[in-house]
Amino acid sequence: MTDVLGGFEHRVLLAVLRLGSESYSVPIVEELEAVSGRSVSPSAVYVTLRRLERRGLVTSTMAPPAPGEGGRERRVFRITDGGVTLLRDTRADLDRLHEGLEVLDG
Amino acid sequence: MGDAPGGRRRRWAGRLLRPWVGRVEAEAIARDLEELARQRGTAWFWRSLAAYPVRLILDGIRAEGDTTARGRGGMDGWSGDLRHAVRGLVRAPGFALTAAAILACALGAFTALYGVVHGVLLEPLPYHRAESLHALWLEAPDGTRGRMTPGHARAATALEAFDAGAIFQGASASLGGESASEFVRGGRVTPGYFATLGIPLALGREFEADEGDPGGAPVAILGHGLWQRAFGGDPRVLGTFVELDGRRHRVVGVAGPGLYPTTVLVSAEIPFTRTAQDYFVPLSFSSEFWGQHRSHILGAVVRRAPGTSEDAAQEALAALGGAIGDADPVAAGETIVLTSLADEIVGDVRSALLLLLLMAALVLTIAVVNVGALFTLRADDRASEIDLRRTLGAPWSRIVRGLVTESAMVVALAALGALAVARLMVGGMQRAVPYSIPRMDEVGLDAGVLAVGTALAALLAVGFGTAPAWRLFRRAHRSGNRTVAGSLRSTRLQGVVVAVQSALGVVVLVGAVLLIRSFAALRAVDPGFEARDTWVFEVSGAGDGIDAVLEEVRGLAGVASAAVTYDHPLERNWVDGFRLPGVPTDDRSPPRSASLRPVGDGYFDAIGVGAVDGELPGAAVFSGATRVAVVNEAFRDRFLGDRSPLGQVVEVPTAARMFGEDAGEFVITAVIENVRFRGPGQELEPAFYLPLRHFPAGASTLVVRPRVAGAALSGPVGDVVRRVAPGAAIRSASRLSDLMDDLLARPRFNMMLVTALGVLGLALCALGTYGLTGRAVANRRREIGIRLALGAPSGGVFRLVLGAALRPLAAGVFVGLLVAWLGTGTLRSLLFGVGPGDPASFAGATTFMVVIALAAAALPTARALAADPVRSLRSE
Repeated sequence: MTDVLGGFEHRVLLAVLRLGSESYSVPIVEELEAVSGRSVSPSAVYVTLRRLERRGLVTSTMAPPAPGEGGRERRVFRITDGGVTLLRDTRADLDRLHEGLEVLDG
Repeated sequence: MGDAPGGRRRRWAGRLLRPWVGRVEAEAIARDLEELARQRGTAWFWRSLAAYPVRLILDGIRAEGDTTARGRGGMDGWSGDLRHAVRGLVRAPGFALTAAAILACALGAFTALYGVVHGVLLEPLPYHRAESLHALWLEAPDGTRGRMTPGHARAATALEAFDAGAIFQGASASLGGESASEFVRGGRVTPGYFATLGIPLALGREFEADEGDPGGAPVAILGHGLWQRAFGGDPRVLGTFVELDGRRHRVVGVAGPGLYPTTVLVSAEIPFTRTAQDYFVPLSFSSEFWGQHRSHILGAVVRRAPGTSEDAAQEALAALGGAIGDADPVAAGETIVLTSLADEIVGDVRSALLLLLLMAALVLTIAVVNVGALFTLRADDRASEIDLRRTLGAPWSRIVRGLVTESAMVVALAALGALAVARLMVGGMQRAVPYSIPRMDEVGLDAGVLAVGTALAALLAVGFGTAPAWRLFRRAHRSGNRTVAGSLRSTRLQGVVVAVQSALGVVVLVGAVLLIRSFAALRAVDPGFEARDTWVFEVSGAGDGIDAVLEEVRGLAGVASAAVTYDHPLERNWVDGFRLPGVPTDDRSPPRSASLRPVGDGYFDAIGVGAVDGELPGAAVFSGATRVAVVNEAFRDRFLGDRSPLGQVVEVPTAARMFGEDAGEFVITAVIENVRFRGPGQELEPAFYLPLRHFPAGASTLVVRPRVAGAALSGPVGDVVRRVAPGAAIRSASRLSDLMDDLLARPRFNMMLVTALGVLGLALCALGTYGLTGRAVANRRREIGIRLALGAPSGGVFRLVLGAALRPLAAGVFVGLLVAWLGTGTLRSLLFGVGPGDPASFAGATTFMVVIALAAAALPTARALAADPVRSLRSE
């Protein structure tokens, strides 16, 4: 696959993978902020998710409200096989690029 | 849940996002945002919300860009767009030409008016530090503003608040030539006049201090125009002599170009070009005359010293005025005020020009709304074509670029047309108002003005291209990124456009109708004299020969009556103080002063004014030793109250001082109608007429009433002057009716321009309504066909279709009337005889708008109804 992940796309995709069944936009934003320590724009996350969906890297469904949440529907994202493959390829690429760069260690 | 504030903002966010992503998605996003905002606050909520549309658009464009990068090359780039756009426009020349013509008219009108405003108001006067130049005036206790007296002028210009100051008076003379004399206008000025204004002389020097003294050798400075005209710009004119009123004056200097006729300040009633500055001579009075505070005959201009504020200068002047008033009872209660010289020269045209520019901006907005709608509807029509291109892989950026290229071409065409329209308009305006707007001759479409026009055009081009694309794009995103074609509903757009343009149109129309009614009221004002056919000749240099000229003129076959006068009948140059011994005053009553008008025997007959009280003095009384006075009604009402005016004595100290103790008393023998010598819109002024023979200052004006109305007298009277007084010069004569017209030139100009803009605005509204209704009807052809086929009466269907067009029209007219009602107060200074809220004007404008718009909507509707219903159905 010739597809390439952008930096932010990469992070969002990883966050979706980490959150599993809980991955709708609020926890994704919070996860990204917690990891990076910087504020993250929800619109950027939203647009990125939709883009990843267009590229077939994630799918989404409107999930029924969780109990006790006051009856709200939410769009839940799930990573596709293609998404997992791309993450794996990207990581391999990055690892090869990192190889032997001692400056980056420690 | 804490639904109160959070719930409301969440619902709002949902509503705001709905156009972009659809209802379900919008509500999901809003809930997510609300959840995140709980720890982050309201500001964060709205900021984050605002970022959504931006990112959606950027993302859409970027995503499509990726596709091209990977995809097709071929007809890429601007040249491809250009070819595509040209083909598109050539296929629909009607669209391109209509849009360009509408824009050209409105953009041209706006650019022309902006050019005028720029040239007249925004460009600073070419004087050095023009903002520190001021004119000085004397204000009477009742607030009327008059000229300075010699005493006031001399003391005020010498104040420390001012760097420099000069005193001046308008003048005219006959310039002796080899064959014939020429009538020239100019000024008597004190030394330092040019230095005060900061205009360097082209040649030579200013007057020196002693050159103004009585008995000194006569010297003159030539105006730049006269120097060019009569001396071919020859620098050797310095040191030579010119003959002014028969006296040889040595030329010591030539004024620089670009000198505004400051002398307009002493004769503000004279139309602007008639105050050409052909020559200057020193202003000279006896030292005794310099000390008096009674004769309001002088203008004064001062340059504020650096570091002195306008308020400080005004305070110093007020203190001076108070001190003079305390010392000389004649001047009690009079205050010296200063005004900006630029304001005096540009005058009251400021509000008129800004108003015209505003009107032009409104008309331009109507045009933009109209053309914008045209572009949008055209893009809607091409929705399926755009779909096809998108399917073939064209990205949004390409589609936007194509649409912008197309609009840019139409706007470029319009800009060329607008340039022609603006040129025509500026030229027309310069011809229509040769003088009543100062600096008008300097107006041109210079680089700055064209830059503004071009910037506007560029903005429009981008707007017209991107707005429809945006609409399609939003449409596509709302319906799940699928297709833009299908049932793009343009009805709402049509309603908005009709409403907006009819609102703007009504505002412009109300302004136009107000000015038209105001002009009609001005025209209807009784000028106070009957003899509109009477000719006025200004003669200079005739001296005592004027009496011989008068005798000859009276003998001419076509002449009914003739007289000489000191002042032009429609000017007011001499305001002087007087006493009324028969009418006691207390200390606090204002000084008595009025327009002093020395006239010769037969004057009242020549201009056609009758007595309302008493008897006009006959020839014998007028030329005899008895000193009689005639006053106007305004004089009687202001100064005599209920007393009988006849037999009252008027003491004129100036006359007494000039011609001896016993020369100052006059007995009122008649009261005449008020002559509006300052123009029909001006306030009535008290005036008293005294026999000219007591004022050897010299008559320079001849009034001649022809036997037959409309007869031309300039030829025969000119012959008489040349024959009887060879050294005299006559200015090309004019009829009183023409002069009255001159006084109306400015209001007429305003009225004409606003009317033209109103008509243009109305035409654009009609065009827009016609086109949009036609489209709406065409879209409903199927429905109309079914209704008619099912037997609905065509009248009912007609009302139904028309009703849809009427609702936005009614809403627009209502809003427009409201705006006009709130805004017409700004017109007040331009109005005469009608209030800014004049109901008739509002009703008239509404009627115009509604009738025209109804007609524009009814026409296509009627045509659709006339079509065969079966064929209409089949066409679907």
